[in-house]
Amino acid sequence: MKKLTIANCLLLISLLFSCGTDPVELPQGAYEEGVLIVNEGAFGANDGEIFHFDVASGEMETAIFEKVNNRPFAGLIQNMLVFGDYAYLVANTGKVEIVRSSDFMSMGAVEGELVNSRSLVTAKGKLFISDWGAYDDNYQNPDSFIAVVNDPTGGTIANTIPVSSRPEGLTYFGDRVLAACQSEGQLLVIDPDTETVEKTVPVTGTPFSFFDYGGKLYLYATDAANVYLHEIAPGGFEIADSQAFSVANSIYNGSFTLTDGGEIFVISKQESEDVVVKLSISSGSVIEEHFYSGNNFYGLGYDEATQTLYIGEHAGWQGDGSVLRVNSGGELIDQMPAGRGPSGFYFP
Amino acid sequence: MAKVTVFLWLGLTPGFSQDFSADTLDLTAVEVRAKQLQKYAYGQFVRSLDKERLTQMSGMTLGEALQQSTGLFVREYGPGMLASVSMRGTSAGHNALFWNGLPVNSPSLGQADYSIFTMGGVDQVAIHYGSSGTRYGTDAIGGAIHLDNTPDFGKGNETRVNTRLGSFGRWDQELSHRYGGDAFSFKTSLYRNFAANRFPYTDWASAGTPTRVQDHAEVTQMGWAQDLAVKLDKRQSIEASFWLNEINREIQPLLGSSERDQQLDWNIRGVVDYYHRRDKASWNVKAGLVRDKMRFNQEENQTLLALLGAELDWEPADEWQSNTGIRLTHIKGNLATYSREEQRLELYQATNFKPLPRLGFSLQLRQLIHDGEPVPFTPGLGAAWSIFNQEDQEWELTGNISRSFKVPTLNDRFWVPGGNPDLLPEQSWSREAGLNHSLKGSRLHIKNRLAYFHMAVDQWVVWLPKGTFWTPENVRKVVNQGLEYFFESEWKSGSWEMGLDLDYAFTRPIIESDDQDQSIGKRLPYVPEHKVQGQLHAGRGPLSFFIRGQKTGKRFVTTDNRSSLPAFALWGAGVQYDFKFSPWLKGDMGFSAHNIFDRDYQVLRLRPMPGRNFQFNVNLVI
Repeated sequence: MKKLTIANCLLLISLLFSCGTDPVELPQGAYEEGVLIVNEGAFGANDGEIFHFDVASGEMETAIFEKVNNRPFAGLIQNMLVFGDYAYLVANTGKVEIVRSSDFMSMGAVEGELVNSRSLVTAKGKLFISDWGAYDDNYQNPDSFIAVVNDPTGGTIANTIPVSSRPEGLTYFGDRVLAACQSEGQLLVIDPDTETVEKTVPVTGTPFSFFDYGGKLYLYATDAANVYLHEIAPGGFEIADSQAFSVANSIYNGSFTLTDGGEIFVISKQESEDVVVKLSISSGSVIEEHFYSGNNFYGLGYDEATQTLYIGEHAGWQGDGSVLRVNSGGELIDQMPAGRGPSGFYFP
Repeated sequence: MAKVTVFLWLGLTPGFSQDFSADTLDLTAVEVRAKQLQKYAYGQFVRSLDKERLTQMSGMTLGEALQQSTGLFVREYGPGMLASVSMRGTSAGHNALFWNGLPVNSPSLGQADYSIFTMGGVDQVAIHYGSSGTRYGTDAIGGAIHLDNTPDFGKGNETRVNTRLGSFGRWDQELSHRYGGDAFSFKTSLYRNFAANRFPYTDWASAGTPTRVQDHAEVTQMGWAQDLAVKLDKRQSIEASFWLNEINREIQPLLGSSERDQQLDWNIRGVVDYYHRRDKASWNVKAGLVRDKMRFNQEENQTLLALLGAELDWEPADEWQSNTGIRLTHIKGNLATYSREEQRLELYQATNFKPLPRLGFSLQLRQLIHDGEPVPFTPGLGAAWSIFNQEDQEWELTGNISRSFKVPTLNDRFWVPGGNPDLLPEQSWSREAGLNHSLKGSRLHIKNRLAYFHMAVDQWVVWLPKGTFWTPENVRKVVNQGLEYFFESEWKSGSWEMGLDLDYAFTRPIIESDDQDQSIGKRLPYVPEHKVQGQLHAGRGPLSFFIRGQKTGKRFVTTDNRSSLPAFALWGAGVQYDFKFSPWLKGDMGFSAHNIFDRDYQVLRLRPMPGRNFQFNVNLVI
C-alpha cells in the first residue's frame, strides 16, 4: 500500500512533465524565385536567419535555413553571397554556412579559425573569406586576415593571408581578389594563386564593398559627410575615378542598393529619422535627398522586376523587424514582418 | 536571552501564514532578526529555505539552490554562468538581493549575478514574494531574496569539512569552523569550488549537429566568509560578517559564436550590526560596505556601496508594533566609460495593527531621496485574517496592495555613450490575494497556499538604438498577473518519514505599452507561463531518498512573441546516508543524479546545459 502510494505520486508527477517536436519538409527549388531576406540577428542572441518572400502570393516564409536543415543558423549573418549553385551565409560570429541556393539544403561549412568573418568571394576554385580577427584591448583588430579554403563547399582553412585591419568586401576582378580594408582605408590586391597581397591602394573614406555597373567596377565607401564611389582601373587596380555624394551619416553597416539604371539608394541616419537618399552614378549627384523616411532603417534592396525598393527595419532590436516596400514614386506599398534586423535582400 | 513577543509563521520552511495567537517564545537575538522579514509582512508571503537542506547544498551557487529548491525561474546562461531570477514575471533587475540586510544588487547593472553567491557563505535564505519596495527599497518590484548569517551562541565547537565531486570536472570543497560560547560566537568558512564544465552537448550551430565537449566554461571560485557575534550584556550585542569572494569564469559562448571571453569578479562585503533590546523596544544600527570589481576580458568596472542605517522596533501597545528607520547609502562607480557618485537617503515606517486576535494589518511607508530628488512615495498595506483556526487546522485569507520602485542604474544614467540622466524611476503598483491552509494531524502535516497577484510596472526602462549608439528610455508598461500555488506535506508511516513538496507558478506578463507597436499585447520574453517543481522525499533512520522533478514552460525569446523555446522537464534523484563513526566524528554522504533522462535543453536560446550528471558529496562534522 505504501509502495502504491509512492508509485501514484510518481505517476502523477511524471504526467505533468512531457513535450516533443516535429521536423518540417520543403519542396526542392522553393527559393529560385521571390526575395530572400537576410536577417542579421541580434548581438548576443545569434538569431540571424533567411526569410523568403513570395512576391506573387505575398506570403512570407520565415527561418528557411532552420526549416530546411532542422537546426538554427545560430549566428549573425553579415552577408549572403551567391556563387554558382551555392549561397554562402557569412556570419560575423565566425563561420560560413554553405547551402544549395535553390532549396537551402546545407552543403557544408567553414568553421574553426574564423573569428569575425565579413564577406566571401570565389576565385580559382577557392573560397576567400575576409575576417576582422579578434578585438584587442582597445577594440581594434590588428590581426585581420583573409582565409583561404580550397573547396567551394567548405571545409578546413588551408591558409590565412594577413591583411590591413578590418577587411570587408571582396571581389574577383582582373584575375585578382580585391579586398576593401576599412581601418586604414585601403584597397588590397591579392594574387589568388600565390595567396599573397600584391598591392595596396589608398582610398578616400571607409571602404565597404564592390559592385559592377556599366562594365566598370566600383568600390563603395563613406565618411561622416559623404558617400564615395571609387572606380577601379582594370589594369593596375588604381582608383581611376572617384565620385563624392553629399550624404551625411550614411548607415554604419554600409548598406546600399543599386538599380539597373545606375541609381543608388543609401540610408542617412539623421537626428530624428532615417532618410533614404537617391544618388545617380551617371550624373554623379544626389538626385533625391528625401526619397523615403522612417525609423530604424537597417538594410536596402531593389527589385528590378517590380521597380520596388525594399527597406529593412530593425524595430529597435526589441524583437523581429519588418520590411517596407516602397514604389518608384517613394510611396509605401506595404510593410510586413521579417526576422531580427533585416539587413539585406537577394533577388534570385 | 531576550524574551520577546513575536508573531510566528507556521514554519520557516514555507511559512504559509502568521499565527495570530501571539505565542510568547524564547528566541535568540538572531532569530528575532530573521523574523523581522516576516514581521511586518501581513498579507505577503515570505518563505525560508530549510537550513538542513542548505547544508546539503554547500558548494552550490544561489542560482542552483533556488532552481533546485523553489519554483522560481532562474535564467541561466550556462552552468556557473550569469544567473538571474524572475519573480512574478519581472526582469532580472526587478528583484532585490540582500546579504545580512545589505543590498548587493550591482549599482551599475541594477541586478545580481546569482552564480557569484555560493551557499557556503550563508546560513539562511529567505524569499519575499511580490512587491516589497516599501520594506526594502529600490529594485524589490517582483520580490526580494535575503541571505543571512546566524551565529549560534552556546553551541560549542563544530568543524565541518564538505566535499562534493561531480560530473564534468566538478569539485567543491568547504572547510568551516563554528564556535558558539555564551557571549561570543564566530564562524570561519573557507571554500573553493571548481567546475571544468566539460560537458557534452549537441552543437546545433554546426553542419551535421555534431556532439562536442564544452571547452570554455571553466569556473573557479574561492572565498572566505567570517561571522563574529558578541553579547555585550543581556540587552546589547554586536554582530559582524565579512565575505571575500573571487570567481573566475570562462564565459560559455553562444552556440555559433567563437568568443573566448573571460570574466573575473572580486567581491568584498562587510557588515556590522549593533543591537540594543528591551522588552518592548529594540534598536539596531547597521554599517556595511559592498565592493565589487568585475573584469570582463580587459575591461574593468568597480562599484562601491557604503550603507549606514538605524531603526527602532517597538510595541507601543499590545495591538501595535512599529518599525521606524533611516538609511543612508553612498554609491561610487568607476566604470569603463565613466565615474560617478551618488547618495540615497531613505526613511521608512512599518506598522502592525492587530485589532483582533485573528486579524492583523501591516502598513508600510517609505520615501527615498535619490541624489536630492524624491522618488515617488512608496506605501503598502497588507492584511491577514485567520478565518478558521482550530488546533489541527487553519484557514487564512491574506491581501496586500503596495507600490515599489527601481531607481535607474548608474549605467542607465551615465554610460558613455548613451546614458540618460533624465530617466525616471520605474514604478509598480501591486496587489495580491491569498488563501493559506494548514493541517496538522498526528501523522500528517500539510500546508497549502494559493495566491493571485496583479502587478503593473510603469516607466520600464528599455535600451533603444538612437543613431550610432543605444540609450535607455522609460518606454514600457507591463501588467503581470498570475497564480502561485505552494504545497508542502509530511507524513509518517511506520518508521518511514515522507514528504511531498510542490510549487507551481502561472505567470502572464503582458506588455501594455511600448516603443514598438508589435510588442503591445505580447508577453515578456523569457518568462515561462507555467513553472512547476516537485520533490518527493522519504527517509528511514539514517537513510533518505528524494526524487525531484520540474517543468519549465515555453518561453518567448523576443517581445514580439514570434519565436519561442520549447518547454523542458528535468528529473533528479538522490540518496543520503547519515553516519556517526564516533562521538566526535559524524556526518553524511550523498549521491545524486541530475537530468536523469539526459534532456538536451536550453534555459536561454543557444546556451546548452549539461545532460545527465552525477554528484557525490561527503560532509564531515567534527
